[in-house]
Amino acid sequence: MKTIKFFAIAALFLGFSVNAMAQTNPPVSATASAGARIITPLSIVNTDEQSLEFGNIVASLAGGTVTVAPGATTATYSGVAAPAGLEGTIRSAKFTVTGDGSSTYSVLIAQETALTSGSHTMNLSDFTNNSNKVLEEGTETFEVGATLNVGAEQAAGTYLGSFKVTVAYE
Amino acid sequence: MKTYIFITIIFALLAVHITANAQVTAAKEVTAKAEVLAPLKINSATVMDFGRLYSLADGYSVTLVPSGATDSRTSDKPADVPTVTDETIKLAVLEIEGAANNKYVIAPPATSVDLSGSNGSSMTLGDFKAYTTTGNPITAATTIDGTGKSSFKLGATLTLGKTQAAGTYEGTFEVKVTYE
Repeated sequence: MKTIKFFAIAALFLGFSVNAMAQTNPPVSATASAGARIITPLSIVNTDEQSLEFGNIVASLAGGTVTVAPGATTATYSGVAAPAGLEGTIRSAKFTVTGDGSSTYSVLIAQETALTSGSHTMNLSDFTNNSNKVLEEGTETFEVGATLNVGAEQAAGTYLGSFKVTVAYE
Repeated sequence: MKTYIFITIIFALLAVHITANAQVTAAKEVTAKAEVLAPLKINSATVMDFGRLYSLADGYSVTLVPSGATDSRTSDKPADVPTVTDETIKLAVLEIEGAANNKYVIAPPATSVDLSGSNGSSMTLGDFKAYTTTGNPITAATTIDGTGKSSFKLGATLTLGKTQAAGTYEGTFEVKVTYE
């Protein structure tokens, strides 16, 4: 009888133990977090339609260059010159970038572009800009200058062209 | 701790039982064996980070995927999601500690969670998937290494609404691991 009793007790506890074992393998969980930052796409506009202007230039036999720096209202001449007192309007182009907060961005400008007057052309090259490439409260304004390459005995005329400024988040 | 207590009780009773039995029948040595596993633990989890994403007129979704050991993201409208460089794009990494050479299974969240924005808006994060640290999808149980450690990555898909409000979004989700 004693044996049976012990058996019964043992069996009972074994039964419990199986349950207990089953409980010891519960899933263990952890909380992880996720984050994202949504930003408004960058946009760029030619502020007040302020274009890059080289003013009036007198052609020369050998040709030369006229350089306008970002933010400048005067030009640097080499090999060619402006008619004295008739320099005309000289200015760099102005752009406003808008986007996200204080993001940094890159500025990309074409290497070279042609200005044309009828069948005549002049090359515009060596673009420079005074952008800090960092937005402040979502905006920054910067200016773009370049060097105009005036050919030997460049034909008279009004030369026009365009160039593309691309900005991208970094 | 609970495991230990129960197992001690079993042994004690088995011992008593064998002794009692010996009083009426021939004694037989019985071997009892139990293996006590160190409890599984998730020691740390790093933040899943989608980096910066554009707010666009049309909604779109972005999925974090490993490509080898590095992390990247893909979009269902790749042309609309220009590359924002210098990003901190990361899948979550979870570090597990448990009994060496044993296997465990991972249960990523089965339902979507919301990421809430500083601006009051929200986005849905769902379709969680587990990957090895070398970037392969995990489809079976994972073996804990000889030192009792293991880690895995979790990716997911983030759904952006139309012109999703700009701002920083955060949310949490729960991952479960169980010994196989």
